[in-house]
Amino acid sequence: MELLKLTWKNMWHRKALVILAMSTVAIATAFIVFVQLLNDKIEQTAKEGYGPYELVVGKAGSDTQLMLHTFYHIGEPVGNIDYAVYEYVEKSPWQQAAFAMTRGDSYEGYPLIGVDSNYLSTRYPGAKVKGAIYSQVGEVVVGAHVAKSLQLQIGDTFFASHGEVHSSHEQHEDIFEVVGILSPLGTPDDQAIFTTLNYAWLLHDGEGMNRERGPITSIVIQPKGLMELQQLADQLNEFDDVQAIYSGKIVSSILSFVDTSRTFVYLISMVAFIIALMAVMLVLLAVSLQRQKDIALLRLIGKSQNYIVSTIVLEGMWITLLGSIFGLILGHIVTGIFSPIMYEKFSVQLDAFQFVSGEGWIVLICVVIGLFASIWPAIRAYRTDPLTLFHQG
Amino acid sequence: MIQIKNMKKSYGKNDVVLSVSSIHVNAGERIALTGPSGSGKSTLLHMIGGLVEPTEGEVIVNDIAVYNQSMTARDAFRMENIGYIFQDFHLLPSLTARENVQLVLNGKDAPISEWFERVGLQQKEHAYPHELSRGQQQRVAFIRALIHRPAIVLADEPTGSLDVKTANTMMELLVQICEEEKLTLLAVTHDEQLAEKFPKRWTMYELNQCLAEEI
Repeated sequence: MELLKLTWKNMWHRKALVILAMSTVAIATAFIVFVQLLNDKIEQTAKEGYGPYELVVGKAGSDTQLMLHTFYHIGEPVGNIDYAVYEYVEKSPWQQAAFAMTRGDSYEGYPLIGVDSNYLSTRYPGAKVKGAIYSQVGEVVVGAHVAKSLQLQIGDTFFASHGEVHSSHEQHEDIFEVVGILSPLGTPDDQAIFTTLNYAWLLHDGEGMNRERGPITSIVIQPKGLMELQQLADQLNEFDDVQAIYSGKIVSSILSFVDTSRTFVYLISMVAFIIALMAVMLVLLAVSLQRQKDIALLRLIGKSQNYIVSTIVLEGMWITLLGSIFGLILGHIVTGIFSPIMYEKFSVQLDAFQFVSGEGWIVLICVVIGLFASIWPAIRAYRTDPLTLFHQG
Repeated sequence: MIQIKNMKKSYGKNDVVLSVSSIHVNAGERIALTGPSGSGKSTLLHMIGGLVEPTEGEVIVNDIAVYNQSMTARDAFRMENIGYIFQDFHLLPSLTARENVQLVLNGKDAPISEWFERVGLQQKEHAYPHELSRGQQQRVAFIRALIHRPAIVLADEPTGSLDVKTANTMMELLVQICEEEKLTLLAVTHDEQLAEKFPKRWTMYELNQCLAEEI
């Protein structure tokens, strides 16, 4: 009988044990795949999140908070800066494009961002808008996810809430109208609502606010070049209570934290694989003990020691091969399940159908693990005396 | 066909358990080997089967000195030349009856279905051992031992775990098939009545000089 057929029949005969071993491999593999997909996407989102705006200006304070709030809509704004800072930037010959932003309000937890409408066409040149871009106060364009989640249509109206917390009950009296819905952008801006820059000044009119030149939350700047970037940053950092941060640098430091976490997660994954290796080995040992008389029979009828060893090793490799393949599938399924949650909470859009670089290597490593896990059981089988068949018990 | 000359088997320095001056089995002979427990019947069988190396002497099967070969060559020797039948059948539980038989064929063709029909198991080819009765399992074991036409069939208490009536039927079947196929059969049995079904009988008292000395 062919070696492969005998191996398959043996595995099928003890399918409960085999499935148990396969499951440990599958879980370890799925964990690695999910973590890798998540990390890849976080990195991609982080790098794409700020577009061409290499410089961000805001109130002095946490640079990470300024970065996360401005581009990723995470956390609260650091504070406000004077409009004069934006006027200074606008006049600077070192900037290619610059946009001031006003923030602080929301609708159903989605931030309301006041910015010149040219920001969207500059930031997303290929993006389409269903309807129209806002042109006057009270008009808004919503991100694709906002429209889908709140089932907003063009023409719908709403009242914004003060603050960017979903549970805020402090509503403004002024009404906003949806005039446009953005196509999916693949960035956190899918979860934002855009309107005119001066909305906040008009909304809070009567609180001593200038309707024409009010305070702004941040300025995003696309410099003309590297040298201009540095010079502009140096100049802006001279302003009182203002910080100018390098977007790339902040994202790198955030990602290095992610890298550290990833290293930690990979260590856990290694532990999971070691556990899987031990599980496979224990299953093969248990099986070879149970099959001692079977192995003795095969030896007695003339099957060579190498044949016996090959059945054990093949079993180990099949268990890990199939376990890893199931694990890859499971990892993608889990990614698909968590995708809406990650998008909702962190604006990270996971793609369950995206392949992780090195998935082939994961399978290969698993097969090698199967090979190593088979060594001890195979040695035991190799040493089986055919006369074991005649022993009692 | 089978020759044993001046063969001794001992465990330890002075513990000789088997001492045979000469055995000669011709091709096609069917021999029952009887003797009390511990008289060396199974040890003799295992030696002929290439499983237990004698301390002294030679075992020659079909002109092959069994113990002058490497382990690998001895494995191949057993595959080609020996058919084994055990008291407890020892069918692999993960394989069907047919697949258990195929184990000894090593990829060669053989009229497996005809053999199943011959032993009255034509409907049971694809059954698993746990789906067969003890008598049916033993018939499958017979086929596995005989189908590749080995030089010698070694049967160690082949009916030992069967009831009296089934044991009689099985032993008659075994002897009959070996006669029809002209196979050489050496069967160990402690049952005198079953031994009478064989044309030739040996007792360990005649063969094992250790026993003769004890007496």
